[in-house]
Amino acid sequence: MVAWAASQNVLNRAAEGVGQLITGAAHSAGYGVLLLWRSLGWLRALWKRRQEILHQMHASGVLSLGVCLIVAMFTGMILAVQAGRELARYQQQAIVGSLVSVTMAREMGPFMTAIILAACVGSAMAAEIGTMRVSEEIDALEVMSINPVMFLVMPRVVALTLVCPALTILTNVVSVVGGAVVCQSLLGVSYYVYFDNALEILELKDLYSGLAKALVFGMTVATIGCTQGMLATGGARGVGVATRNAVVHALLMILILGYFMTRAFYDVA
Amino acid sequence: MIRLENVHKQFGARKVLDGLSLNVHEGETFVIIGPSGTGKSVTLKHIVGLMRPDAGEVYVDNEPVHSATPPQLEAIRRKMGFLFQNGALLNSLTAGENVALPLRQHTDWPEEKIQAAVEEKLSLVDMEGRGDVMPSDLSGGMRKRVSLARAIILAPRIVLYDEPTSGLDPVMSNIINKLINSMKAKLGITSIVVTHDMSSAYLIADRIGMIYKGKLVEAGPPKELLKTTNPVVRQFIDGKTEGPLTAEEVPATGGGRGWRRK
Repeated sequence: MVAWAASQNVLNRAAEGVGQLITGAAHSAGYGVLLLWRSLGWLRALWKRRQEILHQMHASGVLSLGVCLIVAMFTGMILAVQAGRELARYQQQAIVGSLVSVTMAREMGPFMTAIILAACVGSAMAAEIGTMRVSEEIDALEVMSINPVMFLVMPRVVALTLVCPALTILTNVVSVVGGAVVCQSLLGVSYYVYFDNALEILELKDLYSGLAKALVFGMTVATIGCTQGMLATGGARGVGVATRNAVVHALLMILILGYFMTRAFYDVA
Repeated sequence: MIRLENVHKQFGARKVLDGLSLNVHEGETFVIIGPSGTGKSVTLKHIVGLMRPDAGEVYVDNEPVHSATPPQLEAIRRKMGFLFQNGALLNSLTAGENVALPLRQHTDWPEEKIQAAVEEKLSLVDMEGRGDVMPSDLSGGMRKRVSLARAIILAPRIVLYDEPTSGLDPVMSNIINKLINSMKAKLGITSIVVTHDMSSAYLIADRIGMIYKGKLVEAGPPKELLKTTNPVVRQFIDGKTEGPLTAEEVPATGGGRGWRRK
């Protein structure tokens, strides 16, 4: 009887936990959509907040540039080594350039850039805004009749939406160059042949679909970072939770949105 | 000028305000005292519209705060300044930029005029020439003074103070008290001050009201409050450990000592 009551208790607590998880996720998602909608509404203050937007573009773009380029270079090199090794068995190593350029332009470029931004910038946004929330700075803005969405969220969303495609272009270029170095040095494919193949296969759609993804990913990472910051409660621990959630939620959303956008651009039917 | 009528507020199962009613007249300094967690700061947040009551009504200048739309709330807030307990300065801006922020957001003033106004307000709080310092490099008292300069930069008719002297040494507390009094004398500001510090309350208050268990249990001029027979108020202002309040609820300083200092 006691064992039955204990197991009932455990089940109740588990159900309660799942329920809280679902309502928490729904609240966070709903708040995020609302925050994005409100920041789009504040685009009318774009000129007024131009300094902050430029500052955020510098903070998110320039300061993440080094990491993005190093990761891009090595990703291109890894892709070239792996693809080249297999294709060399069929004497087809010349087309490694095509493979690297298409993979990067369509998927890996925006995906990698967004992941780096989620880890470096989205987390920082959540921590910064979260700290402002728990130290009453956001309340102070509201009391001064300064809308926190206009003042804090909109500039970050705009900045990352612009920075992510720009970084993606650089990531794509550097990774293709990384692949070229490997092909020339390890597979005996000349730079001319490599780049000829890399450029020949690329279609306009590959470029714009990748950049569209980057744009959406940038907007998503910034919105999630700001959402988690704005919802932070409970001091330093709350800011830590917000920062972790910002990265985890952004990674999940990048993957989910990436899949649906790929489906939308490249119908398999 | 500020009126709360039967305000109720609950967080989860915890009832913080339980039918609170109070009235603050134009030009007076009304000090709210009471044990920790009894709803003093929550009361201020209702007045400024940061929180909405579960039931009851809040009016500022006969305008309803409890049901105000965002544009109405913005108009109401423009009449008010708010000094947060920890100052709530924006850490990414310098002290001067913090003070200038409301002017930059709400006026089209040229930069020279803004700088002049910032210097004027900083000198009013004895912080002239400190505009370039970051908040992290300021002491607690300095942060509060800068925050006070920011609160009054748009010349509000009402200023709300949340624990203006908490965590400050006695000298700095007296400087803040004198600032509150001088602003009332110079600018005719209506003030509501939340504090645990009874000596400070006696120095600045026209009337003192005590909130206990979410209700205003007593309000009146300091001299009348000293004669109260209400055991809760009596124990709180005397700072005695025996009585209806628990040890955590009693302030560190007794009221009588502060009163004599004045």
